[in-house]
Amino acid sequence: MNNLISIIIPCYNEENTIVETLGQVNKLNLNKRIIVVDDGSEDNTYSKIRQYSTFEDIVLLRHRINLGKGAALKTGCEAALRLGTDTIVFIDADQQHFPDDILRLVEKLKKEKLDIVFGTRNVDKKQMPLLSYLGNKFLTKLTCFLSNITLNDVQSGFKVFTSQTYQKIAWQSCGYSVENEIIINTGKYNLKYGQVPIKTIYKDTYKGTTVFSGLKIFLNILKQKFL
Amino acid sequence: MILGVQILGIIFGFSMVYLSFLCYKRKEFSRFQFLFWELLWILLLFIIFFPEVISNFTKKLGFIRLMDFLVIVAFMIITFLTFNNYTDLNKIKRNQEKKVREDAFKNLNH
Repeated sequence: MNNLISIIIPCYNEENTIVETLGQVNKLNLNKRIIVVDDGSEDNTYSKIRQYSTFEDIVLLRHRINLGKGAALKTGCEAALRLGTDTIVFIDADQQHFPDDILRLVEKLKKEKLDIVFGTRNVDKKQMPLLSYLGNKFLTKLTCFLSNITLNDVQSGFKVFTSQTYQKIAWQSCGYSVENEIIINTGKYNLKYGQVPIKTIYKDTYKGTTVFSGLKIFLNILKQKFL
Repeated sequence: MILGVQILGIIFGFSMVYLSFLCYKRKEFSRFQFLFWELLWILLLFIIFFPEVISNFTKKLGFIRLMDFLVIVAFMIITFLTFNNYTDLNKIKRNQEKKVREDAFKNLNH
């Protein structure tokens, strides 16, 4: 596949940030293909991406209804494999991540011949809303304990892996528990993993993982591990 | 003499008879489903009106009061329905995900 990197960006109601994110990702000096999965957005996200895709080469896929982040990532991965790829990158559309960090994650994956590299945030009380901080700490400890893997942050959506790894880590979760399922599967199949600290900005406290989705993630982790 | 709990049961039973009839009239139930549910509610009303009919049976099963028997049966039915709903919902979610993904791939160029 000539080291082609598929960058998958799932998005749901991200009309304010998606074009900027695409612009930043597009600027990266990589042999890449950008795959955007609009997960049934109700705002102008889809039309904005479509407009953007008329002058930039990106693959745009659309879920007619909102299925959840896990399902959107799966659609992106399956499209990437159908089109042919060597490496797959996940990055969020809400500008929480810095696309420049993709280069560091890919470099670590290639240099150390790893199966998967996780971009981990600096989970700091001062930077994060308190509830998110406590929820993250709890889910990190639980997921690491159950998967026998050591990571500083398990809820980050930023990761890079090889296309062969996808067959092993392929998940069932449709929602946010996809991040935990990937880690549990990484442990289950003894995959070679690494982590790279990434920069993060917290913009919207009402979007993303809430207390209720945290509880759902907790139940899903137990389901994936024991059922 | 009719007890308070029987009055509640009778109100519930007749309400369910009416609701099942409404579902049939709105074509949400087939004739078979309508007859099944009506028979079930009529059986419930019959037991509420004449509890002594099954009291011998419940005593043989070790229940001292008929009410205990009804509560246990109700719990079993609710547990079964919850399990059934859970499996059906999972099936619907899987099918929905598959269809939505197929639709998303329609314009994907190989």
